[in-house]
Amino acid sequence: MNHQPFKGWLLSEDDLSVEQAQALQDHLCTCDSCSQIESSWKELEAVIDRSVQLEPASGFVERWQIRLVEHRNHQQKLRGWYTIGGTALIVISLIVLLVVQIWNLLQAPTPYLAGLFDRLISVLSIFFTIRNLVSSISLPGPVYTLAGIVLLFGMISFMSVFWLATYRRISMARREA
Amino acid sequence: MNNLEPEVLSQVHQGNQEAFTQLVETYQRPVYNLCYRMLGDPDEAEDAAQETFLRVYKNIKHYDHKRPFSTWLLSIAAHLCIDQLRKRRMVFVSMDGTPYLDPPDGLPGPETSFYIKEDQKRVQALLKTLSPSDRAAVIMYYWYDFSYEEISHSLALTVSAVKSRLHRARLTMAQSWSEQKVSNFVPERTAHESSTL
Repeated sequence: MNHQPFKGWLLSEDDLSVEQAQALQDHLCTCDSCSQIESSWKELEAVIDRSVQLEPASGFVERWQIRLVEHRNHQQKLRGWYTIGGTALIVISLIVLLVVQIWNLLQAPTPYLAGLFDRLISVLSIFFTIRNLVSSISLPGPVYTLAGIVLLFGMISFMSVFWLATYRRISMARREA
Repeated sequence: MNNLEPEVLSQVHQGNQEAFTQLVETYQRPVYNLCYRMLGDPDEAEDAAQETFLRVYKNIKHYDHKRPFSTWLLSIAAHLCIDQLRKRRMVFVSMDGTPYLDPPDGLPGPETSFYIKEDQKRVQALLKTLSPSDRAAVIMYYWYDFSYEEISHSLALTVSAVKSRLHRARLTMAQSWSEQKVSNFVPERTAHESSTL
């Protein structure tokens, strides 16, 4: 028996025209297979309608909270490993650069040392030029004295430590929140 | 399904921990139920439900407030279960060994609840015969009253694809249901009835 188009209409939720509905009914009266499918579906639908919503074992929320803490710890560890990995990569790159430099120096030290000396002279000349320029503006003395330089370094160090401590305090507070 | 107050949802969006706990409390049952219907195993369902909430926690910033929260949440759960089912596609799972959870208390007598349990077991076995995305569409449509549009949005399908998947699933399930009824429903019930006599 040809079940088309009835099989398509049978469990369809689209509205059928009056003619289609009548044709389907006629087909169901003569076709055991389609009629069986229809009655099975009605039965199954009733079972689905009766089905209750299942619930998880008690303590689901607590278990979720534990899982969240574990997830956060894992993420923190992961971030730590990324930082270590990144730093290690930078250190390795620097070591490679250093090795290349030393290798070049060992291969041909004279031009390298000459170049280095030349650069040193350039740096010194820049330094003296800047110093002359600054002295012409005549800034107050402490910058030039040893005590002034020590004071300046001291202040910079203090400010750095202070800045680090403040940053740590802020980030700790954020983490606790 | 219980719905969360918009204020709580906005607090969740801002990263409030207590509000999120409230969210888990509110939606634990529908999410777990969907995972269980999809996966058919209580332990896997628990794990998938927990993972769903974790994903929600991580992606709450991407939640579009124009969309109902429950739809978004359940679509995350459905996708997670679909992925899980696809991962274990090659592993054969026997339908006879399908574990079934006892429904919550408050149901009629032991005999009725026995039949209800048996029916539910069979429904669960039928769901297992469907492909993961057909199964998700059926569960969303029949257990959660999702509209065709909501299902299409959740499963990234067109509305006509959803309709045809549901139609195909209905046909498959109806055929399997009548086959099952013939093969094991009658002997089981007869055996049970004779044992109670």
